[in-house]
Amino acid sequence: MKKLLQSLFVLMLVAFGAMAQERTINGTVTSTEDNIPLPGVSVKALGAQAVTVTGGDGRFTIKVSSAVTAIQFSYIGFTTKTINLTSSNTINVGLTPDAKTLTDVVVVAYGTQKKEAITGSVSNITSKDLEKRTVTNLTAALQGSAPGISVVASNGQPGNSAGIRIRGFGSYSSSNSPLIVLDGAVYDGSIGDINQNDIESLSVLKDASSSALYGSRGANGVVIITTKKGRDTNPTINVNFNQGWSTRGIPEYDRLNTLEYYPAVWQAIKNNLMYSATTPLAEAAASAKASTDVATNLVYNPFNVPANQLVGTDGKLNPNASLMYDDFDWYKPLQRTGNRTDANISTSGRTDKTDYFVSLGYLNDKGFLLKSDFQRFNARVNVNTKLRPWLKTGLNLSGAMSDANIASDASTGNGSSFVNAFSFARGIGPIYPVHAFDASGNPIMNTVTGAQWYDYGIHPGAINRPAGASPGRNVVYETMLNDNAYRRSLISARSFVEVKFLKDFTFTPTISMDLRNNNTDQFWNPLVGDGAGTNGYKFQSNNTIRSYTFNQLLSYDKTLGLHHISVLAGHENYSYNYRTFQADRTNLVAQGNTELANFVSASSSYGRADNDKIESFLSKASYSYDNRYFLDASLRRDGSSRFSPDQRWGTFFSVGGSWALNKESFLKNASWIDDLRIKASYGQVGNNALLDGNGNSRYYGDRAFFDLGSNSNTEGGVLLASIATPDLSWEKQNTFNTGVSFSFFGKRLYGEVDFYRKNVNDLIFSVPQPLSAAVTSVYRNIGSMYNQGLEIQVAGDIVRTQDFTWNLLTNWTFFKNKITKLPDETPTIISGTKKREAGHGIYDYWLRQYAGVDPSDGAALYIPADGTTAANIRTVNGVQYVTNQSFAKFDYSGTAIPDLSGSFTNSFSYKGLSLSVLINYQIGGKAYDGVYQGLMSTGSFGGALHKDILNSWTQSNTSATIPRADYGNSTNINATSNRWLIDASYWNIRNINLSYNLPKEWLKTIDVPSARIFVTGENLYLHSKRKGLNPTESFDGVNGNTYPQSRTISVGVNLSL
Amino acid sequence: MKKILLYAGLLATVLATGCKKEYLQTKPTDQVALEEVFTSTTNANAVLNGIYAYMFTRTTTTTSNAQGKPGVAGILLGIDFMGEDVHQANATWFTSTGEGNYVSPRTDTHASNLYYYRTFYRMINNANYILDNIDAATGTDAEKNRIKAEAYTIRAYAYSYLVQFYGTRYDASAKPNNQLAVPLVLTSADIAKPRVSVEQVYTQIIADLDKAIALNITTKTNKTHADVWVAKGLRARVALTMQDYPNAIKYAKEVIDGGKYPLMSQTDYQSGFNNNGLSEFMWCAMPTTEQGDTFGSYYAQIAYNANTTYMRGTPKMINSALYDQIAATDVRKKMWEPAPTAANFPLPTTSFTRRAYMSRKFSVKTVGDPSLGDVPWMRSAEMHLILAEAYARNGQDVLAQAALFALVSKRDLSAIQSIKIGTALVDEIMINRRVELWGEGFRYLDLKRLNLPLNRNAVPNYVATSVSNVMAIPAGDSRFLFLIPRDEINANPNIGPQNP
Repeated sequence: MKKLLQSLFVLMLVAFGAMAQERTINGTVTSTEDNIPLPGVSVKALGAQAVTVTGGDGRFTIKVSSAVTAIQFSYIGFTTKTINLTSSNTINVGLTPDAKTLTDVVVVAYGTQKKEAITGSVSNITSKDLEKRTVTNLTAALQGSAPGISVVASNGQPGNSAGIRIRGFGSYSSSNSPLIVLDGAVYDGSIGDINQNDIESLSVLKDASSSALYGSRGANGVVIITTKKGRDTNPTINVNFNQGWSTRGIPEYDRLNTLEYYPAVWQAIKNNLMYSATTPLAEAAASAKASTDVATNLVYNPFNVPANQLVGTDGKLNPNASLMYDDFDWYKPLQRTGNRTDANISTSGRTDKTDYFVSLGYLNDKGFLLKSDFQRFNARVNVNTKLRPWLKTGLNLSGAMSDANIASDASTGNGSSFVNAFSFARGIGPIYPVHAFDASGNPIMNTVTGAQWYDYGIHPGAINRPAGASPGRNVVYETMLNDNAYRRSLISARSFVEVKFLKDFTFTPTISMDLRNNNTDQFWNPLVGDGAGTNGYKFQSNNTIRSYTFNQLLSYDKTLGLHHISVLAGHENYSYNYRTFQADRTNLVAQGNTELANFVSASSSYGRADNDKIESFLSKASYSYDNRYFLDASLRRDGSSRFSPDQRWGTFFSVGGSWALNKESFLKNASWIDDLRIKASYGQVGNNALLDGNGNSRYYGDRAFFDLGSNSNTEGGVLLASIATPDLSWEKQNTFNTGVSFSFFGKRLYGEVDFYRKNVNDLIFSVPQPLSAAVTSVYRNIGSMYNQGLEIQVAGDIVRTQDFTWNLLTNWTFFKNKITKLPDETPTIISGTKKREAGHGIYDYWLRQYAGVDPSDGAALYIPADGTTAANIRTVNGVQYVTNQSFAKFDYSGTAIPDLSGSFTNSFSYKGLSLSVLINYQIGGKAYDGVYQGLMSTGSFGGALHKDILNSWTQSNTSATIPRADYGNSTNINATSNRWLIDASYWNIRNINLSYNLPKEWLKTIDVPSARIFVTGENLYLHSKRKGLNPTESFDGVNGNTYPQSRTISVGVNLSL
Repeated sequence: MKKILLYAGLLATVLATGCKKEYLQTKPTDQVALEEVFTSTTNANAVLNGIYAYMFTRTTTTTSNAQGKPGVAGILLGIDFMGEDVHQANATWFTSTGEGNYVSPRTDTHASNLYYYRTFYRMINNANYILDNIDAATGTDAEKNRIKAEAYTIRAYAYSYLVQFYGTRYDASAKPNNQLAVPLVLTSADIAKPRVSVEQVYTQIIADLDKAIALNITTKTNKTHADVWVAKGLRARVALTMQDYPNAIKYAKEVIDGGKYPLMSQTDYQSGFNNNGLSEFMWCAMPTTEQGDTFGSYYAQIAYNANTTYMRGTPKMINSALYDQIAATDVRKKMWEPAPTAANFPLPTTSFTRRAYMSRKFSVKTVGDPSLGDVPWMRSAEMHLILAEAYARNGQDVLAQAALFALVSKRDLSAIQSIKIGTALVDEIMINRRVELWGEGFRYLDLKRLNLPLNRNAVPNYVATSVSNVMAIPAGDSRFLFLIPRDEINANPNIGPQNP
């Protein structure tokens, strides 16, 4: 005993002595994966009290006594490393990511969860993934990010949101878009107003057990966006600057050039005179008349020979003809090299009681088309503080101001409008110049300005272009003179109070609000176009969205030995208020001012308000045992104002479980297995997102309404708009999900495989009514459908050495959609190019059946519909056909849904250098190429034509597979039919990112702890089956004259200070 | 104890914060519920006005070339371009949109075809809602009767066009006319009805008009409303179409003798056909500036001085052979200009095109407003023409001569009464009819009702390429019969067979 005491005493002395001899160790902790400094790594002196964490730059300083012989570095997700101390006071250490420690925390509905405890299907995208992408709108970054998420970039307008579908199509007439949740509450701002640099993570909740807590709004999946928080005790400053240049990313269709155009039109006129005129001419007469008519019909003649001698009776361009000027490329004056600047600075830090994150952002993205741009200022403050050991509170406040000039295109409802630059420039014949020339080919000059006039039909010496060449209009001039702009302002606040009591309970009331103001400004100039007749026109609208979510959550969390239980219960109110006012005036007073006050006459004004409300009760319980077995269940009850009182309440639920097989004794010895778990879940979620025919939200789904505003003179008028549907209720989705996730050989090979089946019941259809009915569509819960899919994500390190790693990550989505039930009274629903019927998919084409070309006159032949009268039948080689499309048979013609879609990401890293390449692809599915159909049609004179028209049937090319071009019968020859379908397979180099972490030694000299420079390319190449075709434009496979996606190359630098 | 209270309080907060029932009760602000509309005759009258506004408003049925489709007004223009008397130099609206070249009637998916069909059915269905609900509304019987009478007239008016487009012509010598026409939708509950015969549709039209006439509504706030004179005028028009000349005579004469809508003076005749104040306008649209539509209005397509690209570049011309038959002293000769110059045909700006035989019949109502005007649905001049034609075709030539002279003497102050008889008299009346009603939607229907061929080859100034060389269609050809729109067939399992 005495000896023991003595020894202790000696030991203590030694200890004291050691304490007296402290030394300071410092160094940097980095990740061996990419050499990036790791902040927040716990640094601990073994056998002593001293503990610290690394700062934002990965650096640490720790004072230890000389008795300490080793230091331990530990960090979530990395293998803990212990370094024995030597005489050196500097320790630079690299931590290796730990495949076995799957303790990543993922943001889920109403909270966070350890990744291993998730029983459903959640894809997580982190700030690190986002760093590689230079996208102005966050939605574009989701493309190719994970299986089961499909994204269409319908439009290249800077700042535009891309369409997202999670696991197929949950709806037909209601919204298919996922719910967007920002920092815990449904977000009613524009996604375009979120600064990508503020984002910590994106969680995509794909199955019912993940999204059931969002009840009536969870059916289409949920994207949870979580913004950054202060994490490091060392205050960090992050500076990010990115400069990019953009050009058109998808080429134009091949169209006839100026020299080819006149002869092609000549041929189509000749065909009209020979085959579709009511008094057909013989070939010689038709050729002669076509030579005259081609000149009168096309009106313009940029050649140096008289118009009626331009095309000979042989159909060839007069060999003496040469161009007097060359001004036919309408894209050239409209396009530019886009310019994208993105600058951000953020500061963050943490004390033991308070954490904060403050950021400022500026983005200016000028599109490659004139007058299309997007500019945004962002600010965010996220502060959380612990006032008492049991009381926490926080506020996450952000503001954004966006200004944009928008180009009109199909996605803004201007598919064939004269002000749509793409439809105009694509569609105008190649003989019509941008600027004005007289008959001798001399430029017509504006004597006042000295500049050449634009050719717009009102300038001196003007002649009108024919109907197909946009007479009286000039998209270049109009784009320059008109304004089409919006201004958005957003304030978004999320606040909470968290009260802990009775040890295991937490009560959290939160209030979240979004206040958004949209201002639309349209000005039509008084010189040319829509404003010319009224001496200028101005439209302005102002609308405000005010939405809030107020919820009260009570949670209980308890660990008892190996058992862990957590329970959540809550109540939530959601309220959305929309208010709009708009007015327009005509007759501009003074040039240069486009505000309403500067216009003489009021033309109209309008205003309305809408409300949308939801009240909910929600609960969730989970249980786990030994981190081996996990179970959870949730229940939510929602009431929605969109339905009648009898139908508005619905109950939604989910159950799920997972099993960590690798933790079982029978696998404990399989050392190559890092992780192996299986999971299954089932649940029901709803969809209340009713839409009207134009894709806008419908807030009142139950009553018969008359539209106001159909006024006649001084008397008010209304028109019937909808009939009563008191039984209308939610769509319900029952989803079964099962999957396995694995990691083998020290994370050399890892991945997840998920299988799901989503049965959608009470599917809402806007059932087309006969045109003879009161309304042309009625919303009903009538159908059932399923979406079934297999999603695979497999990744692995193909090469992994000390300095070099090559990682390949692949996503595979196999997906099938089928309608299982439609009501007896409407067993089939036909709309547009699709037909819906039990046993078929939602995007199955239903088209007239094209059967080829009649070699005798080049007519397009179609398969006759049953019961076609003999008078309408044409027999060719013994087979019966029709040539009037109205008598052609309709049939199923494939689907717009691909067989397989996926992506590959190759990532290479060598020391500080890393390179990643993301390729998206899709195999199978068909696109309906309406743009090509338009370019092949000869409906009116003056329109552009596709090069393929040169291969169409003529009197000397009777074996052609393309029917004759004929200005008299294009409606039948180029009718909407399966002729215009094309394989929608494509591959796309979506993103390449090359980045370099500057070596520490260099940075030391300028006192910068860490810096990264990078080059990024977005949408570098798209390969599709036809030049000009973008199969990713829409989910239903039909395209239009949209703003093509841009190709952006940017360089950037990222500094941590 | 304190703690327990606190927890109990918290729990209560969570569970009891459920909101009041009203929280979830919302309503729109740009729509009115059906129940509110038919609470009173004042409100129900708004449905009538909605229909009247719909008749001149740019269509929303299709998004394709909607500017050239201003409600019923656009249809009247469209069918005039299917004749030979109204034409233009280029294949633009009303020809390339499928009318002038007869593509839209024969294409079941054509936007113009869909628009014609739907426009009239939407009027019919709104009228049906009125007829079904008006009795329960509060208000005087007089008001109820007025609203009812107008609804019947509107319904008959709409069916009178549908039956002529989608059925072959009514043939009085082949009664009953069993050829298929259109579905007969007569109540708000009627849906997916089968096509019925031409005879049945006409029976219904007559029944509706007889009800409207029996209610004998002679007062109205303005000419947007269809009074008993309109009902009678329509009854005469329908009788003429059915070759029921005695009734055509009866009702046309009643309107004329009623004296409510006397023929215009020569000065008024030259004022642009755009104003409800003109005495012979019986029924018309009266859009205000706010209800006007710069590009999607009747006058934007036909008024010579409408400042639209379409009118600047594409003046509307008259059949020059028809023009040549107008007497030099006839005021109607001034409606067109065979050789327009800056001096004899001034135009608002230099960018307007001049063409031989271009029209100045229609003008915008207010100088400066690009395209506003009151669209005439019915003028009393038509009644005189119906009367004359019905007398002539009924063999009462002397009465026909007098009836014709009643009109012509107003148009041509030096005219003398025609002494023609038989076919020659009918021809003279028809020439007058074509001249008088040019641009108002009659010629195509006349060709069809009289089983005449379309012969544009007889029009010296017709531009063949403006209609893809569709210059002659034989009488009774299938092109005179519209195909039922595909959207109706797709959604109506009971529709029956498509037209041949």
